[in-house]
Amino acid sequence: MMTSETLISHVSPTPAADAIPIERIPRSADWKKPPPARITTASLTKNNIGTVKRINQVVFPISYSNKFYDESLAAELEEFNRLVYYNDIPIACVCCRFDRTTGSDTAKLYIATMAVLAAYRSLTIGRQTLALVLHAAAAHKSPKISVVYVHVQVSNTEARKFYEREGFKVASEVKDYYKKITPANAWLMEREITAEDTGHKEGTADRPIAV
Amino acid sequence: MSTSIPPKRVLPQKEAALFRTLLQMYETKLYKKGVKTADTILKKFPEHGETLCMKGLILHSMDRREEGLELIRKGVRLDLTSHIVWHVYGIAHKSEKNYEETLKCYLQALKFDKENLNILREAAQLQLQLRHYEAHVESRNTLLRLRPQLRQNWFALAIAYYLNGDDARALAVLQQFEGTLKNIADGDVELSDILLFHVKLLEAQGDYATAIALLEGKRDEHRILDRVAIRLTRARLLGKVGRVEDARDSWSLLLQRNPDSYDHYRDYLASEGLSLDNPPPETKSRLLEILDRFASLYPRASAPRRLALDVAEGDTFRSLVAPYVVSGLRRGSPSLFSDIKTLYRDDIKRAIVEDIVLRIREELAASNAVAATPQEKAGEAPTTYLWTVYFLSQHFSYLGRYEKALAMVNEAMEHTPALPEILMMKARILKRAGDTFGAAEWMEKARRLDGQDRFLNGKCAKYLMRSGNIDAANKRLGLFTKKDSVSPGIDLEEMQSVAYLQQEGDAWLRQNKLGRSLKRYHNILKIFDDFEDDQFDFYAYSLRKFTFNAYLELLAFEDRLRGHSAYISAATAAAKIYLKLHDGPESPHADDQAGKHGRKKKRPEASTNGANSANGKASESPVPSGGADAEGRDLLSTKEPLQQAYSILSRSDGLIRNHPEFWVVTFDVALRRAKYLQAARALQTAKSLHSDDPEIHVRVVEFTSRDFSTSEARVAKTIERIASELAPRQSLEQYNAEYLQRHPNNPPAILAAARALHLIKGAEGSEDTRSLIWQLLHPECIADVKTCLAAFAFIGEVCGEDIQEEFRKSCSARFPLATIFLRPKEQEDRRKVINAFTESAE
Repeated sequence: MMTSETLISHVSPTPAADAIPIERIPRSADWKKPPPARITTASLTKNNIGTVKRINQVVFPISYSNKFYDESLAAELEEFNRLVYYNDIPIACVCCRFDRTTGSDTAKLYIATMAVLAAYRSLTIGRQTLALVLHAAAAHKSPKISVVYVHVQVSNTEARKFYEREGFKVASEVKDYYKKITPANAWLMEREITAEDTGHKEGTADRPIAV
Repeated sequence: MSTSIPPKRVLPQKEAALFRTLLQMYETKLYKKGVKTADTILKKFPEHGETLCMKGLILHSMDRREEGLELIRKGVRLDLTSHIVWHVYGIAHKSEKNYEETLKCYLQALKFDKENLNILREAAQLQLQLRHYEAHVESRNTLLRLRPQLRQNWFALAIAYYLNGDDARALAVLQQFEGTLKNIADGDVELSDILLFHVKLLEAQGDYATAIALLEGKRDEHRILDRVAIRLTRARLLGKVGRVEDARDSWSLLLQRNPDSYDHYRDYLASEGLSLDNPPPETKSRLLEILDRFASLYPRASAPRRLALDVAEGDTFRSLVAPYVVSGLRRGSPSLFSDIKTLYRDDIKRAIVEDIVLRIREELAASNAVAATPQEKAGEAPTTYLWTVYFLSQHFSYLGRYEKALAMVNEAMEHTPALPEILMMKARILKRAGDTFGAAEWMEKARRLDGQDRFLNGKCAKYLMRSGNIDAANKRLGLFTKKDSVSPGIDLEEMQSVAYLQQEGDAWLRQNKLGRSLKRYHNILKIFDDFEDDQFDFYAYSLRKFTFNAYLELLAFEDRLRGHSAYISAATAAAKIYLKLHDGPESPHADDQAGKHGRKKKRPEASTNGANSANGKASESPVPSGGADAEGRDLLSTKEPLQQAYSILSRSDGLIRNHPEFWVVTFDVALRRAKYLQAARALQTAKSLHSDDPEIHVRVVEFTSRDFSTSEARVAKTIERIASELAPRQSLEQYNAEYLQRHPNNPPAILAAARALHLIKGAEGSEDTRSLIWQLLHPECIADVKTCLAAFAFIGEVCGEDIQEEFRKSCSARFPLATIFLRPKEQEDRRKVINAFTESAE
């Protein structure tokens, strides 16, 4: 990173003291104030799947096969598999699949990947995205969804905390879940779908997601 | 109708009825039946000219052109005084877009049927197409006399006078016409347009007071409906007539409606006696004051703030530019840099902007690193940081500091890896740094993020063309072209995509596939021919729809058509290829040589190896684009390449936009055709437009170092005179040295001086030439990839392969990112890698 001294000697024709720190540059003067952050989501298509791949590539230590992405495009998963935009910039995505119970029209929903780019964390984006998934799960008729679950690498305490905040509980620790990365163990975290999830939309998130 | 009908034209009742059906059949395109009907008549009256002509016309429309024309000609000969035969002959010419001949036929037809409205109208239209303004006035006069009740005939006559430069008569027609109007409905749009044209005429005549009176009167009567036009015209007229106060008020009112119009601010300031272009220092504070007042009056407008940046200097500039830039960064405006970069003409302003944005980045990076939740600490959205580094990458790329630009763009990509703009920026930086392959790769990566984005798709194809992956580029374009088209290229050609044709032409040229390249450039020239034809139909349309004001604009555009930069670029590129064909006949070793010198040759003299499309064909997969003879063998096989080049150039208009290259190529062609006076004039024009252009400098030396004494005495004298005006023949070396001194660190100028030196001293000066070329790599010279590439080709010719290789290595070291200095084989390998990469997509 450039120090301020080299900076001045290179470019500054006036003393550095004259420079205005960014926080002192008026923000909400009436002139062109930036619109409040707008978070929107889109369903996955073969045209934007490249973006999903790229986000997952950056966020996860393991890479997913083309087959995985092809399956994510299934029409029945449209409400669960979403690409999330922050001011029209793609920054997060979630891919799920049904884990069907044989013999009945019920299923568990498995969150295969949920990624938010590092620079856009702590903005409640993950929370809102998850709320969207839970809401869709609660409203889903066929198959009917009772439980949502996810695998979290045992080193990833940040993710564990996140899911715990959202009502997930560690059900078990799966030995050698990961083949190519260490630690290889994963927590299996679960959450039941409750009646409240149906009516989420406005409740849980600070800013409702516009779909 | 003519009074006496010659007996041989008269048909008995039955056949006359048949002839009428025949006419109908032609109109309704029942061609086969038409031919039969004509034959029935001809069986009895084989010498009936009109029937023969009709049969010919139908055959002509059925793609049996020659046969049809033959019959028509025969018919005309048999009945020279029939208006029908001449009309038919005209229609046949018209369908071949031969307007001059069409007009002649129509005028002939009118001789025998003076008041035929149809033919009169068409003749008038043709006269405009051919710019026969005087004759057009006559035709319109006749039409008005025949049909005075038609509104459009009045207006058309006024326009005819106006185009003929006779404003006074045009005004008289309008006045007379307006005087006859009664019981006009409210909201008459046509009349509104006519009145606006009337005002425009008065303004053109300098009669401002009357113009204002008419404008205001008709405005109050609600006859002129275009309110914006009223306001604009009124404000302009008030200024011209000297009612400054009123003009100022009018412009303020217009600003209230659109506070983001740069033009309105200029006009307003003009009414205050101020100017934004190079304002004298003493007016600057006044300018800033006014702009500031508007800025607080219109808090959401950016124009007054942006204009103030042009005016302000030093610390004032700094305090104004900071909030402007920050607002753009916070809003995430990708175009912020293109908005700002025009300020970079001023080095101090550039440094201030750089300083401010670097500082912002530092602050944001610091708060990012420290705080887990950056937005809480600095109160900034994470995207502000993203757009800041994005801005910086554009900034450094613009300044040619590619390593730094790459560092910035990589930083942005680490932050937000899936935003196409960022990947595109990386591609662009690599392109500028001379890495065409890396550029194509990153553009393809960007494209894969969003398969629906046609802009991205087009960019990607363009970059693939540049890296020589022409097939892959066409496949990309095919994702968006019509699915039932034979190939993407054919669809794009039909859609008149000049950009595509130019790119593909350039790409083939870089691979020395001259035929294919030439074909593409000719496609572009053809498109401009079509543009010219298009104005024909628009006249009839504007008559019907009363869009004359738009029609006049179109005429003005068409008059400058051959000076359009896309046209000039294609014309010069095509002419250069013809020069190559002339200079270097196809050699049997074309392929070997193409490997060695296969890169784009900038200058026609650089050509030693003709292209050989037949040889080229074997090594490449068949490309579906381009239609019949996509390889352009027809074009290549011309016996007179110089004549071709000349005819292309002579149709262009190099004066409309000053293209130095156009004049240079015109000179090159004229010199080879031994048209020394033409060459001299081209050089004179070029020098008066761009006196210090490097290419022109080389030509001046080339020209003056020649001996013209073999020419005819009178010509030789004139040439001598012009040559001595261009440069001192006795001391060309010194002339060249002075040129170099004027541009000590300008790479193209250094290369030009080296080429000129070679022209003056030839082989014996090769050592000096060599050291001059090496100056390009001197640390103080801010050399660019393009110039060095041209220098590389040049030095190979002058000093041989060993020195060329040495220069190549030095260039590689000087431009570590560039791949265009790789050996041809290495480049080919890289190209294959890119090809494989694009194919891995689906």
